[in-house]
Amino acid sequence: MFISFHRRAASVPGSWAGMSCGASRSLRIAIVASLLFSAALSSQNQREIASPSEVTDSLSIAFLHQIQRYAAADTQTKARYARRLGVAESELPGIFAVARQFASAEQSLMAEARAYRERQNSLNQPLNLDRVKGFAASRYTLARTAVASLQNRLSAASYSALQRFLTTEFPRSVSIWK
Amino acid sequence: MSRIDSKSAKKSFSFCAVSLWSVFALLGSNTPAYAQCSDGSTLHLAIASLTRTGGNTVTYDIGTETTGDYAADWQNYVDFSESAPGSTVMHSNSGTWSSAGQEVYYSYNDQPSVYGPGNYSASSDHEAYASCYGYSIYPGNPVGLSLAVTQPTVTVPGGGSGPYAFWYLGGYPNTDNYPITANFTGNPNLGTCSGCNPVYGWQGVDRPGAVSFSSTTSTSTTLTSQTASYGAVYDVSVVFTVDGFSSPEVMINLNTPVGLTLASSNQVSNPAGCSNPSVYGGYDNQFYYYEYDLWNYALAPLTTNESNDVYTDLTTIGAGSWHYSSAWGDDSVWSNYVTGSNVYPWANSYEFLDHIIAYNCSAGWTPPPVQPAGLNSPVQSATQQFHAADQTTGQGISVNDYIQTWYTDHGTN
Repeated sequence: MFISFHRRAASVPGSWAGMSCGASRSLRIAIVASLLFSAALSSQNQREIASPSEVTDSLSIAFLHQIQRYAAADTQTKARYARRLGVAESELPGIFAVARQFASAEQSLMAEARAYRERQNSLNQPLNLDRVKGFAASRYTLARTAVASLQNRLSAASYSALQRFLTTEFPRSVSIWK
Repeated sequence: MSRIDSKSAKKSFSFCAVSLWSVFALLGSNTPAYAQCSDGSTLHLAIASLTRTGGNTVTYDIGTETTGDYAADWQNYVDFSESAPGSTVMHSNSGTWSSAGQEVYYSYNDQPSVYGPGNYSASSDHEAYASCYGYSIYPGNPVGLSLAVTQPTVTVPGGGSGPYAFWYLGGYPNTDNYPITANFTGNPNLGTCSGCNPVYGWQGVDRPGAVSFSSTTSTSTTLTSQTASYGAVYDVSVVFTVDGFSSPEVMINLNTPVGLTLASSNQVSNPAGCSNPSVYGGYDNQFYYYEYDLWNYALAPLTTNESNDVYTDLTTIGAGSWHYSSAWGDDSVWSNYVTGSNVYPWANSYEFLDHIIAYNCSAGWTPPPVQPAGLNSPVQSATQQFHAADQTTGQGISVNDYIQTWYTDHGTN
């Protein structure tokens, strides 16, 4: 897979010189130091890196979104996409249905996650990290289940071709900022 | 640009928010957990591909996603521009933000038959923004893509892309070294093509019925001429298409024999052929002809036949064989390639020889043929027609009509 990973720390957006919120030079230095310190503090309770399977699942999520995008395309575009995936055109409706089901479930999950944050914010309560991770894990599970369910809808050759697309061509188009 | 202004505003806010949050940390305050928007599992994906997905399709996919912990807190953003060769902007978006927790995704298909071959390019900016602490991530920025799209081409016999010339022989098949067919090869030039299942095509453009194709669905085809060009011009053209994306036109001339000219003549007295010609007298006028084509070039040997249709007596013909005499030896078919009765070779590389002969093989002709003596006594005339590309008398491409005349002491055409 040709996935480019980028380290967030190396590219905090914006330039110091271009920003202003009324801080003096000394205050800015203090702020820089505080940033480093707070990062060290926060890292104690955070995972350092996504696991390889989470990266794979993230790609699956993006892939399912792409499929969903093509579900709304015209007939010719759909046919071309089927060839690109390596599946029979007749199998597309099944693939689209899986992507649609995923999207629907995902949307509910994300709405629930947002509602949870908003509720906590309104109550001025901290987030429960396990719950936050639970949303992410559920989303990954949804994606994994969706991709796995394609196996039941597709011929062995088509499923194999689709897997090839998902693990070779598709990742080439994705840059992952980690 | 308004989007940049918007992003700048967010950056400023981001700076202030993060800074204040950091100050709290520096002062030993507990970091408010509800302000946290990411951890190491939070991934930001920039999706951007510029791919040839069909012979006549370039597909551009772009999007931004966030996954992992806190994904629901991130709005995703993309702005992009896709350009055709020559910098024509096909698609652009000055910036779109998704709702929190949603991806933003676009896809476009464009036809090189509309925008032309060459380098397609695209650039996009991707951003994910967490409103909870006003922080932006720019995954993969800036993403620049390019894709070279090569036009289909045609290779003509012998190589190259034309122009090309072959023959039309009035509906007669390949004769001697004059082919009426030509094998053309189409080169799809797809390069790396994702999922391509190209549909090939051949079609005439200028004077489309002038050639037929043995196949219009494969990469190679045999063209057969159906008519001739209008002159020394490449007035017929064909193209090879891949999913409707056309090659440059291959210009064609369908050459054909169009005329016949007398190159030289010779007169022989007392020709051989009789047991005793010197007794009875006679003549053999020899005519060297060459044929020429649409380009006015003399043709190398091509099967040609002669026919004499209408005989007219120009004087009172009595006894003898003046009338309808084939024994006088008009050569009727000329070819270097066909042997058999009534077939004669060309005299040299570009000319064939025709005779007008009259000689007394036996006494009693009226009037009697005599040796050349400067006389002007016409006896008989006949139409003389030459047809090329076929051995059958009177069939083939008409290249000239003459009136040939027998005089008592010589012949003319």
